[in-house]
Amino acid sequence: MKYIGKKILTMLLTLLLVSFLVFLCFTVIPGDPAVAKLGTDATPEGIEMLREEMGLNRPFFVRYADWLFSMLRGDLGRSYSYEKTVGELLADKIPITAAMSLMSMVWIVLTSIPLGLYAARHEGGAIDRAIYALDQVLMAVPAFFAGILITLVFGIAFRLFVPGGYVSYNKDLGGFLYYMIFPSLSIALPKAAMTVKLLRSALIGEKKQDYARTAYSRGNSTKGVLYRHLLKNAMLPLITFLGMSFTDIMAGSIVVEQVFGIPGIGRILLTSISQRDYPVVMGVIVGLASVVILVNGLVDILYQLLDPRIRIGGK
Amino acid sequence: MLEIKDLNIEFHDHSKPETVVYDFDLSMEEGDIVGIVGESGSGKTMSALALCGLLSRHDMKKTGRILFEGKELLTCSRSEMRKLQGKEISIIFQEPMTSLNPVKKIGWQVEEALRIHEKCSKEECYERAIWALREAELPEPEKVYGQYPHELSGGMRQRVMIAAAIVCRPKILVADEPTTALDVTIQSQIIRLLQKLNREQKTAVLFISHDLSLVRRLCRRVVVMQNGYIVEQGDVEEVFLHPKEEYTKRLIAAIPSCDPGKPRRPRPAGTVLSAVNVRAGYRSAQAFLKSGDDKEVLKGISFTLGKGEILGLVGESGCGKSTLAKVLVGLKKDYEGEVECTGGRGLEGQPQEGEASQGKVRMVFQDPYSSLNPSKTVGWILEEPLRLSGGFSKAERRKRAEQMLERVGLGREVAARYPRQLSGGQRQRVCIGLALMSEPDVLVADEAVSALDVTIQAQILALLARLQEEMGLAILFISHDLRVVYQLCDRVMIMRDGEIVEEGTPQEIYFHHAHPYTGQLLEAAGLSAGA
Repeated sequence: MKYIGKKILTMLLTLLLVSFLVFLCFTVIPGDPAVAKLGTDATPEGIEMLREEMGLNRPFFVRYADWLFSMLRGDLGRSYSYEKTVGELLADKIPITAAMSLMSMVWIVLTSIPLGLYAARHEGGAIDRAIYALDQVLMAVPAFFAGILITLVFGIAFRLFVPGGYVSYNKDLGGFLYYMIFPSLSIALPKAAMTVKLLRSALIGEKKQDYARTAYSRGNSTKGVLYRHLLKNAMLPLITFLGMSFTDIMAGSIVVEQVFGIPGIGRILLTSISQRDYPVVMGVIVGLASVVILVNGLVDILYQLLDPRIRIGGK
Repeated sequence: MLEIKDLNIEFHDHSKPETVVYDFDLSMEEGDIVGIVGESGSGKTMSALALCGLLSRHDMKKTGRILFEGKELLTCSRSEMRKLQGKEISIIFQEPMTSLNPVKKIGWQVEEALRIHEKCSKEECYERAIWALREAELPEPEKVYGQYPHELSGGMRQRVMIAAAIVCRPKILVADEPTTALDVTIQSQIIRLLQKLNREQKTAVLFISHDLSLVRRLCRRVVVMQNGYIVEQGDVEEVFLHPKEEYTKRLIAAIPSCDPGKPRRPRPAGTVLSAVNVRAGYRSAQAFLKSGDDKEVLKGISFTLGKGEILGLVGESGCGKSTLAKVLVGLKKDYEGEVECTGGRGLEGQPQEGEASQGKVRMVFQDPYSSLNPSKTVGWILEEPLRLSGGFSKAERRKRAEQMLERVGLGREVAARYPRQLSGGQRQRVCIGLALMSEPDVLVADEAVSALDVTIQAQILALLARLQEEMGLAILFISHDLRVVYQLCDRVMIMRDGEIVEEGTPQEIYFHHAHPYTGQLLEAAGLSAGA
């Protein structure tokens, strides 16, 4: 418990640092939000008035503290380009991207663990080699290209979904989830391929360890050795990899949302960047950073639970 | 009960098949205790693994017969074999540190054979696991049951391995070098444990070792193997006292003997290395807000090493031997006390401030397999100290490296080879040569022969003695093997828990020891006073 407490403290400190860096970056980059909001033909007096109104003339640390504390209250500020708060703007986008990322994670875990186990168990066999070859190809395919291929095959050739025909989740949840299968699959494909490869080689590495021989000597079947002894050991590197993948998946979703015409976080991020809508961009970045830090924290805690050798607390 | 006839084992790794075991015959009765002795590569482990059904790689061909209670093991199916593994035939391995699954609790691993072979309730499993742990003489079996392997010492892990192997009360227990990785005192405890199991449970024990003196203490019969062949077999005492074959005679001769009349050289006049009240320790991993605890490993060590003297340092693992070695060669710098090396030689000339020992004390490590960079040639490795010190032309470096190779008993042509192309003994020669390249005054050999076979060991010891003679080198010889130390050293220090408890000539220490701990060590090694 003490360990977890410390972990959370470290995570909060990291988040604080991230928020500071984000705020600093958006203060020093050129481009005046007031100018952006009023357009190029605005009068200097008008700009000055708006700057005063938006609080841009106050000292840096005052503005940072103000931003930080309102964020802690759940207020991410107002968007410059829409007459909405950032919170309102993002509220209905978060479920879309979250659903897509989680679904990708599910795909990765569901496909890679059985395939990795199978390939390791039948090392060198025909199916293992086929999996290996497929892995090599899929690993090299970037998510957006996989998206284009999936649209081509499942959308246009087999007509399993209408490309660009995004269904909103508050209108038709079933339709929304069905549509999400395809983008999440295209994000998952290259990652799943890497996970299969990693799990396979981790398992084969564990198979050569002395304790595997001990397990055989007690009368375990190959399957018994694999599931009862090797899997838990091989999961350790896998968990680290899956944690890192989750970050990649969210980053990847920005591009894939474009391919499939999904109005998620990725799309709002892109439009806000081009419109210099800084409060929205900052909100999204801090949000994504929180998720990354949280996932990494969870990976660390999970690692503790799985590997007794690095368990620090509990004694 | 067990009958092995004409067992041949062949590898089909590459293009040419390679036979590792030829016509292996062995029969064992219930309650028998048989030893197999041989050097690495003699096929002893292969034969044992074949018996346990653990050689099932498809690139391997086995012919002959292994009959266990009338059942043919070589031709039976995997599932038939599995019914015997862990139930009737159990095995314990050499490496207690890695042979247990690191992420599973001890109890789970000890109970595994029960779960596989016998349908018993959770409570019964628990009780029998505790029984096995107690039988293996683990203190507090209930506590150990809930622990993980990394929380136990090597000796305790080996006991856990034994507990897991005997939990189903097997008829045969195969022990493959079970004590090689352990200290003498632990070693003799494990041997006694195996004897007890054999006596009380009537478990037949097949004991595989390269250590003849251990086999002699434990076994009734012995099988001597060389290059895949059985050279000689019979009653242990008979084989020891009247060996028939040349190879057996050589093996027995290679055991360092402790002859009380062995002549000793007079103690040299000058001192080359002295340590005064050396204290050193390690800090345990630092926690987030709390500073780590200091663990004192060396508690005030003082000694001197005379010019050209070979000084033995004996102690169990964890007593601080290696830490002392690190301090002496300058690998560990945070120590208190004084270390002074007063030799006049040394390649680096005047020692730099704070690095008094760097230039003149060199070290040879235990493991010749991992101590050399695998991607460089032997020549490159040997030339490195000269390259680092500078001032030598390419041709001169090369000449010196070749001379050194000849000095340590290898040919010049070895310079072009890679470490993996050399045997363990040859690699250790390279390591010694490397240590001598910078012409040190003192050589620290940390368990330098422990990983080697007896005959190779004897050769390396002879090499060290010769080099000492030729180069006037002083050697600090760190070992846990009392026989080797007796053979080689002019003086012996016994170390325990970071302190030197006794010091003297081998004769004094081995035959008139004063400290009870020395007595314990000698007894564990089967060298109790007067032996």
